[in-house]
Amino acid sequence: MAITDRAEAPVAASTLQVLAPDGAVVPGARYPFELSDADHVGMLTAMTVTRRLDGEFVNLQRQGQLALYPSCLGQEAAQVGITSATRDNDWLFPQYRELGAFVVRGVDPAGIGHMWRGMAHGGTGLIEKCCAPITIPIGTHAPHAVGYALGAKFDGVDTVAVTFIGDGATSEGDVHEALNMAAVFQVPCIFVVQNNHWAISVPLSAQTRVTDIASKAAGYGMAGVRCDGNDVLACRVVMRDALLRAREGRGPTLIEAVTYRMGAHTTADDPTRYRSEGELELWRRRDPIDRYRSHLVAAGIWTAQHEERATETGERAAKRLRDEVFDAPMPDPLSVFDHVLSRRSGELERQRRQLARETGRDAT
Amino acid sequence: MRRDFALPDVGEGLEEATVVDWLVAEGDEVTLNQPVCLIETAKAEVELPSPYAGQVTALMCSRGDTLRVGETLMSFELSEPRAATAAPVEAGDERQPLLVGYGVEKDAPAAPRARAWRRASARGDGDAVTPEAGIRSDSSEGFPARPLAAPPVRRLAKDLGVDLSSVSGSGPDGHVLREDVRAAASPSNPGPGAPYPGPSAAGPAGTPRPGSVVEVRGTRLKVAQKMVASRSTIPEATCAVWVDFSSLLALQDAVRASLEDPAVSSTITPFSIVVRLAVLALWANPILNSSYDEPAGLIRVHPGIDLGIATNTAKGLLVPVLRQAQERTTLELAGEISRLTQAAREGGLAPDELRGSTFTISNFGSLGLDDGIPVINYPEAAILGVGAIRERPVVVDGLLVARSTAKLVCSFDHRVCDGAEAGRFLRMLQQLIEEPERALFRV
Repeated sequence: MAITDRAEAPVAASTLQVLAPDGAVVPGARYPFELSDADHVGMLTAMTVTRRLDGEFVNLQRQGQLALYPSCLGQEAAQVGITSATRDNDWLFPQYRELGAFVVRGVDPAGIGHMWRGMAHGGTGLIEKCCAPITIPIGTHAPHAVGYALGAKFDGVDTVAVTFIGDGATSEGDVHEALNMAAVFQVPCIFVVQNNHWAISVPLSAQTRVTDIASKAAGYGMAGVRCDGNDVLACRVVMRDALLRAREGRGPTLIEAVTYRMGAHTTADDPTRYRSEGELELWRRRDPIDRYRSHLVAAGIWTAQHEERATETGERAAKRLRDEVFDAPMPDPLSVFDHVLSRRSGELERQRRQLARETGRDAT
Repeated sequence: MRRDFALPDVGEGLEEATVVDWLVAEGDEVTLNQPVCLIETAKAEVELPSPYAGQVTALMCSRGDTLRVGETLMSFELSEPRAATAAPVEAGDERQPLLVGYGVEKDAPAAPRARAWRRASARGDGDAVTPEAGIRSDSSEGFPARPLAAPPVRRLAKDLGVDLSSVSGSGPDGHVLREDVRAAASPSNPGPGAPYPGPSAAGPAGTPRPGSVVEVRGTRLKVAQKMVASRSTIPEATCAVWVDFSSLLALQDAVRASLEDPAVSSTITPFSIVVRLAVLALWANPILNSSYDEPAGLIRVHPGIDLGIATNTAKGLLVPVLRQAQERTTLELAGEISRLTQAAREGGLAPDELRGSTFTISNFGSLGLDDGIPVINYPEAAILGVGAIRERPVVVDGLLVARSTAKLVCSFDHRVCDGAEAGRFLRMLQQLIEEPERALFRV
């Protein structure tokens, strides 16, 4: 498809939007008519549950139960819109703020909670849902996604790798290498940049000279598209296009979802020191959940009953997290030998026996 | 039950914090997560939510006091005893997934393992196969060893249905080479290297038996993906005309009679002449030979006509491509159509000959069908369908007569153009078929 291939590397000119902040459909928007009412209800439910669960993570950190937690408050639309367009066997390579993606995939919050608690068995439950581990170092997971996609291409497996990075990560060498390699080998990989405007306290303007991260795609020779990251339908539409491109072998896509981190960078950060209340207020008015709810209520799709059910599901998820994580004891130290390698080598067996001896446990 | 709330480390590695304000008093009943205290650390001022529901029995310090992380901040008498703390969860345990409308069931395909398993089961042996089976393992290291082979060789092995672990490599350090894979795949060497067997559900003629389940893969999968892509992204509209083929059939006879080589004259069919005329009409209406480029907000009109010929084959629908059709003579086009469709049916086309069309024609009339609505070959802008030519009653000069007619159907991307443009194309083609001499004006 020589002609269309050349057409695959346009510079994103504008920000794609489907819903205005008041929930009205933008004139001329590409409305995703293929979504059923159940799809819409599922997406708003996932966003609602994400916000509730996110709040519980912050509470648990404030109660001394978690070492740290990076809130995704305000970024629910980007994460749910993007992830809900994927198939269950498309692999997600998250950074660390993608609770919404995990909620869509049905990942048990307990494993995520144990991870932020610093437990030996933290982060379990992700692989089963085709999610790579939570990544603390910035952008190092982008090459992993490309590697996975390259392998899938070699194997001819119908799957797409999706990696979530932030605006700050676009300054990292790993991300540059990943973008370039993905384009050169035309692998089925989608780079989702959640541009939330702040890399801890570094504003986007101090991060890059361009105002439009999607335009960087042109330099790699891949498709780049910018969408309103607080508009779940816009995110869903651009992701649907990108997935189709990937599945048809037409290469990777760089998606820039323009959103805003309404909470602190992590629980160890105080954003009032570097950003204004006015800026926060501006983005509160663009709240992704209020916007989508207004739209679905006006469309007669979302009812008080749905709201009630979503709230209940959120409470259940929060309770599940709390019950699992609160004052949870460390698992048996010997269990670390059970979960890293598929079989124990002689050396590992020796180490296991030694640890058992030193901690006074039965090694059998 | 009494419970203490120790001062948490709300930052990373903080050692102490100062109590700025108490938001509750001793004796107050509080709910879970109700803000109880405002503290200030070296990093930030932070509100602490109550970890318990119950009565506040003691505040252990006053406003302005500084506490070390881990010191008791306050105490509670719990309104209901907390359930015993959950036991540590073993990885691999069955967990209750979060109940949201998405996400996979318990046996989600987890990549490498599932893939290894699939690969093993694809060999067709019915026994239960563990992920590790078929992969040599070097027990001294404890790591399962993969056979050594470069990625293109692995791909070749996969395509030929060869299990690499069953091939002994002739390359350096036992590397498996292309030749090894080809040798293992040759018919004289059946066994584990036998090609992927077709879906066992298929009957002798390739048609599934009632009640069977057929794996969607290969051409079927590609067709399915294309159709979904087309119908889920392209808002299409369809228009149609009835065309009198009498003149064209007479022309076909005349052309055939004038050609000496029967191999050449047999390629002159009504369809091949229609294709030639359609190329003329399309060249005059280039908007239908374009693609809608959504990310760029552009309609890209293609510089040439790469014509896709929808062809029914035993494997399913294939679309061989006739490059730069506007530059070919009628005889060249007819010869190419004959070659491409035959090669497609025999499976002899190169991948390059099966992709990159800019406009597609479907000859569903060859299946004996009068009418149909063709689905646009995504990401093209339009598709032409040609129905069966039959004698039908038509009105000519007020009289009912029998004429050979067929229906032409055009589905087009309504984002790219409107009924006026599609109609102009179809009407022009109708005119060219009914009065083929008009084509002279355009060549």
